[in-house]
Amino acid sequence: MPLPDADTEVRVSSEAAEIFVNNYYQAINSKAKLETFYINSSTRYSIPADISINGSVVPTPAEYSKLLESQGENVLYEIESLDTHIINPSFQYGAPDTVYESEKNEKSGRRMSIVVTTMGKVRFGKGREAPQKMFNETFVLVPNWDAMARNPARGLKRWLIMSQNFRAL
Amino acid sequence: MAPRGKAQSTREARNPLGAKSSSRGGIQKRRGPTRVDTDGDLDMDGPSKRPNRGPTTETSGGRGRPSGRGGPQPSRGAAKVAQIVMKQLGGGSDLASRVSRPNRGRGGQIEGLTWLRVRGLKQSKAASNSDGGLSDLLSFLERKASSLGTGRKRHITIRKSHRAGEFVFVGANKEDAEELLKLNTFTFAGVQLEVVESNGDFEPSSKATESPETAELRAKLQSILSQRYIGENKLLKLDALASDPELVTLGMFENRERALKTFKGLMAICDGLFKTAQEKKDAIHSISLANNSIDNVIQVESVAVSFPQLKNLDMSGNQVSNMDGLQRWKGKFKELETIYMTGNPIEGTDVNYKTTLLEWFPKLQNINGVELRTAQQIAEQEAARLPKPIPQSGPDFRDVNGIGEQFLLDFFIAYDTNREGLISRLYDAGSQFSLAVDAVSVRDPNAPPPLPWAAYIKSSRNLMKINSHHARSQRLFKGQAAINDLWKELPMTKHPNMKEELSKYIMDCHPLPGLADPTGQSQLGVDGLILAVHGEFEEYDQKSGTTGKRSFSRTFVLGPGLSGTAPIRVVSDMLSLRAYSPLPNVFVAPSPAPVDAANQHQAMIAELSKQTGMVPQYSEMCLSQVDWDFGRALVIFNEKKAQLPPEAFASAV
Repeated sequence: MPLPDADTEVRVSSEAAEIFVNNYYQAINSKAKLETFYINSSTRYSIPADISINGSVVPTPAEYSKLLESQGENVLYEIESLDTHIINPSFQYGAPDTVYESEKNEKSGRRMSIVVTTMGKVRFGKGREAPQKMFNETFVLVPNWDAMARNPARGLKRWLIMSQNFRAL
Repeated sequence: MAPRGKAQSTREARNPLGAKSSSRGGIQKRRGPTRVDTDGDLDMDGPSKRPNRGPTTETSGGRGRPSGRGGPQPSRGAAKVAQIVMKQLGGGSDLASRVSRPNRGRGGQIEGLTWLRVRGLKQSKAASNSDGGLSDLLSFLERKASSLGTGRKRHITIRKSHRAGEFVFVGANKEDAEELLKLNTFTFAGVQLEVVESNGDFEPSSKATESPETAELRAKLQSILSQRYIGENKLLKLDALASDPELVTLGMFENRERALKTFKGLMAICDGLFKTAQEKKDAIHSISLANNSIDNVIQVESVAVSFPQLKNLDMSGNQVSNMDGLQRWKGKFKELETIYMTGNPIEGTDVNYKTTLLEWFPKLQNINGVELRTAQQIAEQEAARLPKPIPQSGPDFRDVNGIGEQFLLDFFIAYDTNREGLISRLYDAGSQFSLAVDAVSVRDPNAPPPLPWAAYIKSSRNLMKINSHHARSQRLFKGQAAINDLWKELPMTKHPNMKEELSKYIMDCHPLPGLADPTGQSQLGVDGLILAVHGEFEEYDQKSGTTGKRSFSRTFVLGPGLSGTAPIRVVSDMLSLRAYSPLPNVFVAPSPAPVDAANQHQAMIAELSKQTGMVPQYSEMCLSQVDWDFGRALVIFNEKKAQLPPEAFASAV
């Protein structure tokens, strides 16, 4: 079990968190589809992502998109704070029987599951006077096994959301 | 043209903006047998009708030349002065140029002109004439150029002219300019002229000083404006301008181009009369542009610039035939409450024009004297358009065997009173802790100034700010000892008692599979919990002696402990800090039931009944007719209100 060293853990988890939040909030702000961010989009995971928004469980990413759209036009999410920890350095859940280059991927931190927390503002409407609210959001990201294959499809995300908890504050 | 006659009658029947009816009468656009000449008529036809003055289209008049046929003709001198003053108003003072700018280059007046530079006027005998010989030079150029051609005669028109020093710049379309160029070395009033193409970036200078004639004309226009201003109604009557005898005498409306300039000039003078926008807004609430043959508001676009806060506008008796003719005012007149469009062809051609007007002008309530929506309805519609945050519900606390609840009840008391004990009980060598500061959060404006961040900033691992790998590693605290060393340095805290002051917290808790098994037995990992808690604490910084409140969010990943020690362990503890701002109380706010279509329709019926006084059956009929578009339902209601039977309304109690 060649686990990633501490440096690799910090580097890979930070990068994963940064790439994820950049893409994810950009997708929300541009009302793009969210499915590909979640384990729901991978056949390797038999369970759907656990999505909890302001205290209500949302069954699918598409339902969350609907909820976001129901907020109306010009709603903008902006991140001010970001942090991440490793939950499991060698995540196994949903992994195929033989993971492609398993040891190398494990050592390079690609099999980690991580917890990501963000804090920021939601702006409702344009302009300086537009009302804004703080929010805090927690994600658990797990490896996308499909992206770890020998010839993965282009554009696959390396990590997928397994658990999400959003609260407007 | 049915609307003509109708326009007159409706105009008489009502008193559009509270104005006294004018003795000048309505539009007298000469048509049919009575038509003698187009000169002298305010002919504000769309630009599409005029640009190509080909050889056969125009034979009588060029650049404002009196034709000598029909009607009272202004003297050439007066017309010239008028032209000059308009030019100055258009390009002189800041106000005037601001007023005229929106039209510049769009109405085919400047764009596409070829500019020529003519030298010789100053040296000529004509220089001693009243206008410095300019008008004589221009008519000389036009006349000579027109007679140059050998075959078919064509009238050459100078569209623009401007004097700068010893040069006169003239603008004409490309074809005409080519003819005019041939006049180079022609003799004018004893002097050989030099006519050359001017460089492309020529801009007419705007330094012209006002001549006595200009001042006189300005005074005349001002006096006309003051006659047309009805102070008690705050109404400026700019209706039927082409039949104003004084304006006609001044030659201000002798052709279309002059008419457009005159209008801009009038707007510029209006602007000049008021020191501040507020003064103007207070003085003029209403403007009538009725009966001016306007078919496209481009022709009077400057009204929107000069009077952006106009409340009432009378456009009746014009020639607007579709919404394109009003397009240039879309998004303008944000305060407009009333508009009259009666007597325009659009009444017959666009059945939906009123609905479109209501969309274009956000405060518009009244069209053609019929109130289509009230100010309150507008406010409600605006409120409905505001973004609606995702509703809040109480805790989503999917606990397992009460572990999460017990952990939280225990954790904050222990963190406030015995951090070291807490670490030894629930943290181990693999536990991670870090904190992240958001120093720019939204905060309660009524709360005291936020506490300083000095005590936390050194260890903040906000990855948005901390970019170096070294700092990111240093600020991740792993294992009991490292966490304990940090917590000893952090300020003392006092969290609200969770049992007594639950509403000061929001907490969610869900099961989380796939955690590392600390015993190493389960390859697939073990199940745990993830908790997100939001709240506030009081802080005492033992180093600086400051106290105050802070807001926090804290995420915990909890897993099963090693057997023999604690039943659970903290895998991850992430603290996010921000300035104090009270949380929404999610415990009292009932989560609104999801609204399905049927409920929504019922709510709309109830609301329409409330706003209109109709009984629910009629509200439902009305709404179903417009496909449940509430705004349109109101419009329909207001239009058909008079025709509804008494039983449509709930009897007054």
